[in-house]
Amino acid sequence: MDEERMKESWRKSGAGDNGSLLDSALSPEILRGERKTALMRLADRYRRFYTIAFVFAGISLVWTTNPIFDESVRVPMSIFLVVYFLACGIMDWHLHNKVRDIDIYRMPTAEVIGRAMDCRKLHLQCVMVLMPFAIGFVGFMIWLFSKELPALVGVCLGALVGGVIGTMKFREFMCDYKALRRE
Amino acid sequence: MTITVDDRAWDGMGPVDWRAGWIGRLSGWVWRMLTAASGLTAERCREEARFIELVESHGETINRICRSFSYREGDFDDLRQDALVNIWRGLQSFRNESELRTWLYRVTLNTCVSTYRKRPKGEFVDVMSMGNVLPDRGDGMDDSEWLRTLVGELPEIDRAIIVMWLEDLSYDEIADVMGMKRNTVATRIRRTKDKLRTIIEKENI
Repeated sequence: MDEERMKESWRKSGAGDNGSLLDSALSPEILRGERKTALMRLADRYRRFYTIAFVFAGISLVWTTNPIFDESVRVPMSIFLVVYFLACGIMDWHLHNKVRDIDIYRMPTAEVIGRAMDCRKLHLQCVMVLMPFAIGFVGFMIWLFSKELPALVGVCLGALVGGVIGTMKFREFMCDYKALRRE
Repeated sequence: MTITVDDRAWDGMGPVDWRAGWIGRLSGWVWRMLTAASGLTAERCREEARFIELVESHGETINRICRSFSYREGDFDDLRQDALVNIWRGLQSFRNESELRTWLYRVTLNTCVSTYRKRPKGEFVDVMSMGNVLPDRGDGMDDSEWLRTLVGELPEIDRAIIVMWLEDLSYDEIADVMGMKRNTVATRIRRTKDKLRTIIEKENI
């Protein structure tokens, strides 16, 4: 297939879809700026996550006075949770800034591709770093409540549900990471 | 004959009683606001007309670019909507810093490459590195769909470059949009073109 035929085939592949495009272009969602792009939604999602993480970091300080836990574990557990949530919050805040800095109007496409890929890699690396801490915390809670059956059942059930969802998400994550490394 | 002028500031309406002056100022202000609003409305109509004209003349291009970066029908609709949002927002502040066509390609491509979409489950086929393994050409798939499938399997940078080449942009325009040197663009186009041509010819034997 020579170049002209390749271009001709390519031009044919986009024909016949203009009507619905024009309808979309005239929609108030677009003209009034009501619709957010996927990039804007991603930045908003990271902003929500870091806000929640910082709030939880503050709430974790309350655990120092929680009578449910033995006095000897309250302070270390609080410190662990504060550090964990602060780490989550800082990572999400950093990702939010990186996503927001992508300027699709002025940046060359190669730079946008590079930045988008960096953001994706960083996101997956953050998950890899924080996941062992989350699993470790669940293990710690199981050990802590090992002598109290109802609490232990609750922790184990929560760990089971979390484990199932976490395993599914982990498999998706590994597929995404492999695909990213290939690109 | 002596003409005396009132001491108070001349407000364009002559020396008048203070009540009439106040009403005059208020009506002047209302008039200015209405003029500004109708100016804004007229400006807005012009922008919308410009946007619609752009979509009408380059709609197929936008469709082709968004299709080549989507793996599912849902992805395609989302990408198209996002591209339109970005084009509309950017057009209002576009001041001819570059050619409109080049700007449109940059915005549409940047919209497509800046969002992550998951590939459907299954083997990832990198067109540039595969040997005898070809993506699956479904029954009844015509040449244009097959070409689009192959382009969709390219790494993102090569895909963006080859899409612009297929859209008849010059090497200089492609280099400008990509932010690469002309020679780099030429090398990548030659490599990708040769690979695509080899695959298509193998399929057609």
